[in-house]
Order: sequence, then structure tokens, then C-alpha cells
Amino acid sequence: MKPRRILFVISHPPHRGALAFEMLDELLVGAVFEQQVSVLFIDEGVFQLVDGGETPGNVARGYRALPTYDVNDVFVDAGSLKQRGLAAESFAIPVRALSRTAVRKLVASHDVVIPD
Amino acid sequence: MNIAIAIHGDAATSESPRLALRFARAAVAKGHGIHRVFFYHAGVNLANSLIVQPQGEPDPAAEWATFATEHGIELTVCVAAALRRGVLGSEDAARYERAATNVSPPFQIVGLGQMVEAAITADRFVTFCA
Amino acid sequence: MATLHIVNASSERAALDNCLRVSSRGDAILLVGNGVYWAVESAFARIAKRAMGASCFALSADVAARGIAHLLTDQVQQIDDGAFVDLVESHHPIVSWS
Repeated sequence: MKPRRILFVISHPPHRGALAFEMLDELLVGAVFEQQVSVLFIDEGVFQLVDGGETPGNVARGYRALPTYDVNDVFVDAGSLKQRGLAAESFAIPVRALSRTAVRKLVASHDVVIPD
Repeated sequence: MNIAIAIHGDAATSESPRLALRFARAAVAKGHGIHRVFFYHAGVNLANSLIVQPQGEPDPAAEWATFATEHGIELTVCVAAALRRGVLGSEDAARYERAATNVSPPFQIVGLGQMVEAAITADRFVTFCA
Repeated sequence: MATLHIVNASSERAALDNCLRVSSRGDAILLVGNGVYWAVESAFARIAKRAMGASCFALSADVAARGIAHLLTDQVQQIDDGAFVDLVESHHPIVSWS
């Protein structure tokens, strides 16, 4: 069966109890099932990639595992980064910053979209 | 059409369980199938059989249970999310030495893999956010 | 197929904001639950321009439950739950925003 293209959209900041980690769990399980998993960080979601150090709830450390799980299609909304003065290069994993148009195409090209 | 439904909110703080049920009823009425309902995040609280709804107030958990039983629909609850929120089947209550178990059929405790399976198999995957 | 966006949040502005950023021309936007408050004329006016390329809908049961049918803009079409199902059938993927 052809793998489904599943896009995880993260639009909320970290540190909301277990919610951010529950999203990461879903993502990793999707990857383990050998589906085509992509992730899009948008709006306050981009803060989930900012490393908060050795604090509990620092989900950015968890996202470092993505390449190990063969999840390499990690995207961020360029406008969301710019608005917050963040640079894609500062994140611990390689991400691709997308223009608004590219974000739209990305969403439309997936079979399943899972929000956080 | 075979539809998978994810519910992220619970009855006490969200419309999502009731919205999802209305959608599911309408889908079945039109002859579509519900592949699976997957309760995640706070949605797992629908499976907590200790919850008592005041008389005269809606009881989405009971309504889901009736609907699912009538139509043979799987109501699946993510184990990790459930443990965090004190929703325990008998296996987990024993494993973690908790005083009670509070999940009853038709709700089933399952792994996240069931959500992925639904996402892979169904024609449509619809999420009802908290 | 065009995408269906489901918005179930009113005061969390970000939900509709993100939906509008990500939706393409020809997509459908469905307001459900408290999301139907965005269909109130004064609220919709603030986002109408950005929503221009999409077809906007609101669940009539949720509008009626909130007693706001008389406040709604005519740019948002009220639909019943059956039509919601039809929207899901005729769109792909389905994206939910909160």
C-alpha cells in the first residue's frame, strides 16, 4: 500500500502541560509506521524549536530525534519566524523556511493533516 | 466514504465530543462508514466511567457509547494520554498499582498506532480540536 | 481537490488567522462551535478581505444554539450537519484549527 502523506501542523507554543509531547509522540509513531511524515511549524508553534535548556518540558530536545526517525521534511512558516525575529539556522535540526504560497501548496499536497 | 474521527477535547471543557458525534450521526445517516474514533489529549476523558453528568445536562460519553454500540463503531482511547489523565483500564490499574479501573466498553485502550492505522486506511481523517 | 478548513474557536484569534494564512483560493472554510461567532457581521468584516478566495460556511445548529442567526453576515452560508459531511466528502485534506 502506498504510504500516506501525513502532515503534522504545530501552531501552539510549548509548555502546555503534556500537549506538545503528545504531538511529538504522534509524529514519531507515524514515522515508525513508515508513512511519509512531514511537519510544519507555524505561528507560535515555531517556539517549539527553540531550545529552552535542561528544563522539563523542553520539547525542542525531543524534536532533535526527527532525523533519527527519518523525518526530514521539517518546515517552518517563514513569516512566523520573521515576525518573532527567529532564524531557521538557529534550530538544532535542519528546517526549511517556506513562503506563504509554499505553505499552502504543502498543506494541499497531503492526505491527512493532524493539528496540535 | 470511510471516515476516521479524532477527538481532542473532553466534555467538561470543549464542544468537540458533541460536535464530533453530530458529524458522525450525519455521516452514518448518509450511508458513510466510521472507520474508527480516536480519543487523544483531553478527549480520553470521555472514557472515564467515573464521570457523573448532572441530571438534565448532556452526557456526550454515554451518547457516544450508545451510538458506537448501535453501529459497531470502535471507540479507541490512547493509552499514554489516558494514563496521564487517570483513565485506566484493568491492565494498567494492575500494572501501576492503582486503586481502581475506570474504563468500560465500548471504550478500548489502545496504542497510538491505532490512530496512525486510521490515518492510513480511512478515506478522510477529521479532527475535532479541543 | 480543494481543502476543507474547520475552525472551532472565536476568542483564540490565532485559529482563524492561521487558517486564513494557510488556505488557498477555492478552499472551503467551515465555522463550527464557537467558531460561528466569526460569522457575525462585525467580526466577519474584519477578516472578509483575507477570506475572499474561500467559500465560508457555518453550522446552522451552532448558530441557532447561540441565538445569533439575525447577526450573521450573508457572506457566510449556514449549512446543516449533512452538508458538513458532504463538504468532507468533496474536499481533501481536512484541516482543523484551534
